[in-house]
Amino acid sequence: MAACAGSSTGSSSGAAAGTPKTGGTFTVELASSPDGLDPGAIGTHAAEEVTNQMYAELVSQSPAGAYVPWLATSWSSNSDASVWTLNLRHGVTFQDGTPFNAAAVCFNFDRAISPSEQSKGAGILLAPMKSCTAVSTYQVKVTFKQGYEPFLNALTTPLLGMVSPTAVKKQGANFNLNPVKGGSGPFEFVKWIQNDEIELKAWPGYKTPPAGASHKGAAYLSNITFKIVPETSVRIGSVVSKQFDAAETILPAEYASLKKNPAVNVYNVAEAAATYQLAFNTAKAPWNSLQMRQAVQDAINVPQLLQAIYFGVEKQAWSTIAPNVQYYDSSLENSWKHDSAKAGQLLDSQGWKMGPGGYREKDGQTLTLQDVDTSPDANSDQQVDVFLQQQLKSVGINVVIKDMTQAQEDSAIQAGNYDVVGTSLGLSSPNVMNFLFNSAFIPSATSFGFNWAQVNNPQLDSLLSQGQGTTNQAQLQSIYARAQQMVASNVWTIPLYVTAYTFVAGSNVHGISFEFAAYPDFYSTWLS
Amino acid sequence: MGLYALRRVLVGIPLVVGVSVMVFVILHLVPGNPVAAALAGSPATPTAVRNLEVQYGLNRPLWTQYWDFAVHAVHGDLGQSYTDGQSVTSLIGSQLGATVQLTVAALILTAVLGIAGGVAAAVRQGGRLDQLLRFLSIWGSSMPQFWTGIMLIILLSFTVHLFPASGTGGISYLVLPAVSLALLSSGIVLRVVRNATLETLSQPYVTALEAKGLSRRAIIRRHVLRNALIPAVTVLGVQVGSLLSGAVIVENVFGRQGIGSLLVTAIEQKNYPLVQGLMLFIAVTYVVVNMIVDISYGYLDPRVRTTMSEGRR
Repeated sequence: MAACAGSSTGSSSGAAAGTPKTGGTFTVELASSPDGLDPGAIGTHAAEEVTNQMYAELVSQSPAGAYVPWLATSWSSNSDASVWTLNLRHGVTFQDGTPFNAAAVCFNFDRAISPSEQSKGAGILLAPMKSCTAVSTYQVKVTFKQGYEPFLNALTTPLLGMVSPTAVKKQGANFNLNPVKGGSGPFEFVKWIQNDEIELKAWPGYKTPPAGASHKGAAYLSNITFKIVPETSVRIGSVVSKQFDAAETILPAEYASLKKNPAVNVYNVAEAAATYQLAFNTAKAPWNSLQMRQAVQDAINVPQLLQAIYFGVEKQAWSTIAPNVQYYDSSLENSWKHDSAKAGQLLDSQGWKMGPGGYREKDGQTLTLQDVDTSPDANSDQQVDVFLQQQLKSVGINVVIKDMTQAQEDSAIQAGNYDVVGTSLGLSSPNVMNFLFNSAFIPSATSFGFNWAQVNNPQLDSLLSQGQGTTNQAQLQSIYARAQQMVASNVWTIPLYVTAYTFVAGSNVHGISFEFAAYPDFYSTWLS
Repeated sequence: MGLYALRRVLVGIPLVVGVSVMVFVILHLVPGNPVAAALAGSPATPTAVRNLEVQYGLNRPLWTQYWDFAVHAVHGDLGQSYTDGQSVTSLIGSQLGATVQLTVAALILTAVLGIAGGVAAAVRQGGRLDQLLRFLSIWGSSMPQFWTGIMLIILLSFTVHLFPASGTGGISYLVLPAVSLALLSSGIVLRVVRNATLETLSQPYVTALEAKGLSRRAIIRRHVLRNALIPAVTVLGVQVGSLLSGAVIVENVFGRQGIGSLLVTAIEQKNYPLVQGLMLFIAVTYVVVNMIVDISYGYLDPRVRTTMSEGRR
């Protein structure tokens, strides 16, 4: 939160030079409309980008990934991480004047897990919570059903930004759309014109930035206007032609030329999250066989794919989690490479012989890999599909691409109607692996989980649960290293690239920083 | 005339009901889980999924779900959006103004460009102007709207800073999207009007009027135009439908408010109530516009009025 994330590139340091000026309205274009502005109810990235300016969190993550105080001054837990104590900052109020204290924190936590609230993201992050107690005015005790070390990371996400209990009670269900004075962050809500714009203004009473922030007191900007502009070329062109100040998500093809343009600064921030990976449906033949999955992995030339589609903007991933996520296992780097001859041998050994049509066959069946994807897509995933189709054809695998809407893809996944599907998940804790590989999260007709690789491995389940039940760093290091190695050696997923959050701003915009999980933060932003 | 209008209204009712049933059935036939969409892809527990299904009434038989929707719709209640709980009618209300602005502006442009161009081309049949206009009409109606839209933005917003590239607001925000919408329709109207004008111009009565010494201008204004307008009005009525569907694309390109961009998101998220409500609304609009077109024939062409009265007897 404090300064520019270490992984960010671009001329951000040069742009930060000079004495900050106060005032001005900063216009930022978003690619899609938020699903709300109540951290307890939202679940989309667009919503988090806005709420991140409005609500302060209890803990912040430094550019290096260290946990630093924000609204909580210190924290501790018992050895299995099942009971946590948080000490809160004194003398803080919400934007409506409601005092920030232990009762307010428990109100936020209880709300996230309350079934009647239908919380999306926040409810998932706090799912294992049993109770929250205000020990004193400024001390909170949180008890979990079992050890829950990822709690600390959860506290840093915009989904657990602190909302004012008074404002929520006053607005009721309407709070999600009209969170007037409900925040605790540097900016407060002004108005939301559906499908058009969201306006925020600086909250003059803000005085509690996280440790390490570049300034104290209120934000420099007087207003922020978020505009909803879905068409990427229009969004970026509007910044270049100075109609708006900044925009998110650049087309990879435009990235290089934008970087050369002196009128704008380009930011490319590696997201601390699960990488973009292809998940096999390991519950379905023939992809339940390790050799078959290995053959696919060997047949893919990832560097070529990334160069052709992303022009080098996205970096190759080697593990299921990104390098800047805690306990990343760097020993996996360069552990495999493109080898189509080896892929052919593996397929031969499994009895899939090259047929007359250029595709392999076995018992009269053609070797097909059904690849489901959503359309329209935001990040050229469909081009990845077509690239895979071409590369895998060379070893005799027929990739059938099924493009569908998001809702249709969800159903296909719940019904297990796929061989492979691209996935990534935005959570900056290694516990993201729990969502991706724990057997409890296998999608089914009655539940929607993210274990799209359909991994049902008791050994991994127990390893991931051990990872939740200790705070011992050395132990965590070894647990998550083993878990990543298990995923890699079983080829449950094939990691392709580290997802990057791209952002472009006019050269008159200074002091944009990105949180550890790559959300932009406009607290210290100013216009010249 | 009154009875004719009433009959048109009565025909419209089963049409709207039919559309609502079809949309309902198609929505439920297309695979996709609205609950998963409402949970925005969070790994939800079976209990949470069941709770939502009960809350949305998705666990009940299809015909009861439709009946509920229909009864509420008649009372002006189109239900609540799954994703953020807002009422569908207020969501449509918040976006309607922008779409009406856009389609009306595009319709006026279509009518002006199409009718003026069509008559001009017919009068100069075979000449340079005719050739140019015919080329432009084919070009305009062949270019996909998103492409025309982006080209207009690059040209008139990014290169020459005449108009804003995106957003909703006054006239300046309306020009580019309305032009990219109208180009397609006006090309079609132009060709229809041109043919109709040529046909009228070849009628013996036009020769008779010329022989009487009436000026060409007066003949075209008083006699030819009136006859050529009838097919133009029919085509314009049909074009309202394509302008509405074009708005879906154009609103997205220009980052405009509107029911089009609302519909795109609703379909992607399988937001049943919102899709149903929007489709019902669009169907009603379409039926009403075509009814107005039918009735307007009577005013434009007295012969239609006579036929109507004869039909009644």
